Amino acid sequence: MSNNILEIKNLRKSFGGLKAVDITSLNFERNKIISLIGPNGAGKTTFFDLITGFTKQDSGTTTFDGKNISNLESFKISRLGMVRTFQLTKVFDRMTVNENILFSASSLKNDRFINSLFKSSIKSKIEQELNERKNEVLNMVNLYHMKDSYARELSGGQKKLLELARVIIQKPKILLLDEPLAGVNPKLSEDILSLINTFVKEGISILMVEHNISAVMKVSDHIVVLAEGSVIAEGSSDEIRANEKVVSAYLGKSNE
Amino acid sequence: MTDLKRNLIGLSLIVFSIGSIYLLNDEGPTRIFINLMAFAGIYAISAIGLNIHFGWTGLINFGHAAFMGVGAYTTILLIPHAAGREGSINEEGLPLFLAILIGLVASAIFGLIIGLPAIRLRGDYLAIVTIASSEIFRLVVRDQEDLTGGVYGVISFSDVFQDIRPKFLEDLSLRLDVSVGQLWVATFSWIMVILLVFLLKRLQNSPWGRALRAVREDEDAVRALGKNAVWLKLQSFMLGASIAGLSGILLAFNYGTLQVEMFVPLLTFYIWAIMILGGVGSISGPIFGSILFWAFISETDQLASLIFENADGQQIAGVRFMLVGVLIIALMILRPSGIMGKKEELLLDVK
Ligand SMILES: Nc1ncnc2c1ncn2[C@@H]1O[C@H](COP(=O)(O)OP(=O)(O)OP(=O)(O)O)[C@@H](O)[C@H]1O
Ligand SMILES: [Mg+2]
Repeated sequence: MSNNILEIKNLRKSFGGLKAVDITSLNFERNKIISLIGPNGAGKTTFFDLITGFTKQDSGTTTFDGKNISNLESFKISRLGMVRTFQLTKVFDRMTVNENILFSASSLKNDRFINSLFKSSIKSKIEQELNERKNEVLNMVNLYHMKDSYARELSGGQKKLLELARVIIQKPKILLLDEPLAGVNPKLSEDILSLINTFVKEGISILMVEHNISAVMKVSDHIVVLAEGSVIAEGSSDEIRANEKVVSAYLGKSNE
Repeated sequence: MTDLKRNLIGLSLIVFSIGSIYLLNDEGPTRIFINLMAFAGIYAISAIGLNIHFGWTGLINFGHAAFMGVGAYTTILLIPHAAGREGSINEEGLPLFLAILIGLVASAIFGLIIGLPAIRLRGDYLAIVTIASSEIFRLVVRDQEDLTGGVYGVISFSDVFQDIRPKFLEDLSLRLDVSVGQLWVATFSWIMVILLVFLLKRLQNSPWGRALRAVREDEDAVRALGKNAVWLKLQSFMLGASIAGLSGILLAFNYGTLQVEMFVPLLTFYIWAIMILGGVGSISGPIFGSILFWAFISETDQLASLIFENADGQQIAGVRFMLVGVLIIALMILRPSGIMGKKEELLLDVK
C-alpha cells in the first residue's frame, strides 16, 4: 500500500462562476500532521466538504487508503475511517455530553431498531463497555466533570473539546480538523495541540485547517497553502515561511 | 423542574378538567366522560406518533391525518363492512388482528413512500410534501368510490371489534349508564396507550432513540460520525406513521363509521396542538395533552352557550377553535415547554 493516506487528482468545484476548488494533484502522507492554510475564502472548508462527501464535486478522484471514495456518501466515507469536524462546532445541543460521545461510539449494530427494541437499552453490557471508553476519552479532554451537562451549556472552547472527544473515540485513520483552535484561549490551544500530537503517535493521520500560524508552524510536519482554490505552495514550516508567494497572499510581511 | 413536580402539575390539571365535567353537566356526566376518554386515548396515540416524528427526530409532518386515514381504510376495508352509496355489503374479511396488523404496515409503507423523496431535503420541504400528500390521500379516497365508498363512506364494520369485547364491560356499562360499545373502544384504546408507553420508554432509552435525537440536533454531525441520517429519519417516519395508523383504526371504531372527512387537515392541527400542550419530546406529554384538550372540547358546548343564546353547530365550532388557540397561547406563556416537557429540551424555543 502506498505511503499516502490520501491522494487527490484533478479535484474541481465551482459555485456559479466562482472556482472554489481547483486542485490538480495533492498527496497527503500517512501518520503526519499536515496543515492546510490560506486566506479566508481560499476554499479550505470546501476542500474538506468535497473529500468527505458533504458537497458534490464537479470532477476529480479522491483515493483514501487505497480506495476510490469520489462520489461516495459522506457517512460511508466516515465509516472507512476519514472523520471530520466542522469550522462551526456541531455538537448535539440538547443532548448531554455523555450522550454526544456515546452516540458516536455506538456501533451501527448497536444502534439498530430491532436491537434496541429487544436487547440493548442504555443499561446493556455493550453500553457499559462504551461507557468505560467514553470516560477515558472524557478524562483525556478534561470534560469528565461536565459529563451530565447538556452540550449547549458548554463554553465555545469546551464544545471544541467535546467535538474532538466525539471523533477520537471512533479511532479514525485520518482526522480532518477545521480550525480546531479558533476562539480557543492560548492555554487550551496548547492542550489541544498536545492532544493532536498524541493522536498522531497512536497512528492517526491529521489534516488540519488553521489560521493560528505560530501553532501551525510549530506542530506541522508539512504545510499546504491554498489560495483561490489552488495549491500555491507546499513544504516544511521553514520553506513556507520563506516562500514569497505565501507571504504576499497570506502571511503578510510582519510574520517574517 | 423535577419529574415529580411535572407529574403533579399534569395530574392536577386533569383532575380539575375532568372534575369540571361533572360540575358543568347535570345530565349524564359519565357518558360525557367515557366519550372524552375514548377520544382522548385515540388522539393521544396519534400524538405519540407525531411526537416520534417531531419531538424525537425533528421531522416536520403536517400530514399526520393521512397516516391515520391509511391505517383506518386499510384495516376497515379488510374486515366485513358495507361501503358506498348502496351500502353494498362485504361479508368476507380477514381476522381482525391480522387486518389491524396490515393496516399498521400500510401506514408505515405510506410513510416510506412519502419519506423517500422528501426526507433527504430540508425540514420545510417535508412539511410541504406531507401537507400535499395528505390532501391527495383524501381526494383519492373520495374519488375511488368503488373501493373506499367515496363520500358515502364505510359502515357496519364494528361487529368484529365488538365481538371480542370482555363480558364484564356489559354489566359495567349498565351500571354507569353508558354505551357499552364506546366503553370498549375507550378501554381498548387506553390499553394501547399503556403498551405504547412501555414500548416508547424502552426505545427512548435505547441506542436507537439516542440516534434519533442526534439526527434532530444536527444531521451533518450525524453523517460526519458515520451514521446514515436518512435511514434513521425514514425509520422514525415509518414508526410514527404506523402508530398514527393504529389511532385512525380506533377512531373509525369509535365513530362506528368511516368517512373521508374525518381526516381533514384540521385533525392534523389538533394532534399538533395536543403534542405542544403536553410537551414536545416527552412520552407522557401527548397523553396529558390529549386529556386536557378533550376536556376543553367537551366543555365548549357549555362555554358556547355562555356567549350565544342558542349556539348552533357552526358557532360551537368557532368557539372550539378559539378555545384551542387560547389554550395554546396561555400555555406557551405559562409553560413554554408544555405540561410535561423539559425546559432543557425545549424544542419550540423562539430565539
Ligand atoms: N455553498 C456555497 N455556495 C456558494 N459559494 C460558496 C459555498 N460554499 C463556499 N462558497 C464560496 O467558496 C469560496 C471558498 O469558501 P470556503 O468556505 O471553502 O473558504 P475557507 O478557505 O474555508 O475560508 P475561511 O478561512 O474563511 O473559513 C468562498 O468564496 C465562498 O464564498
Ligand atoms: Mg473555512
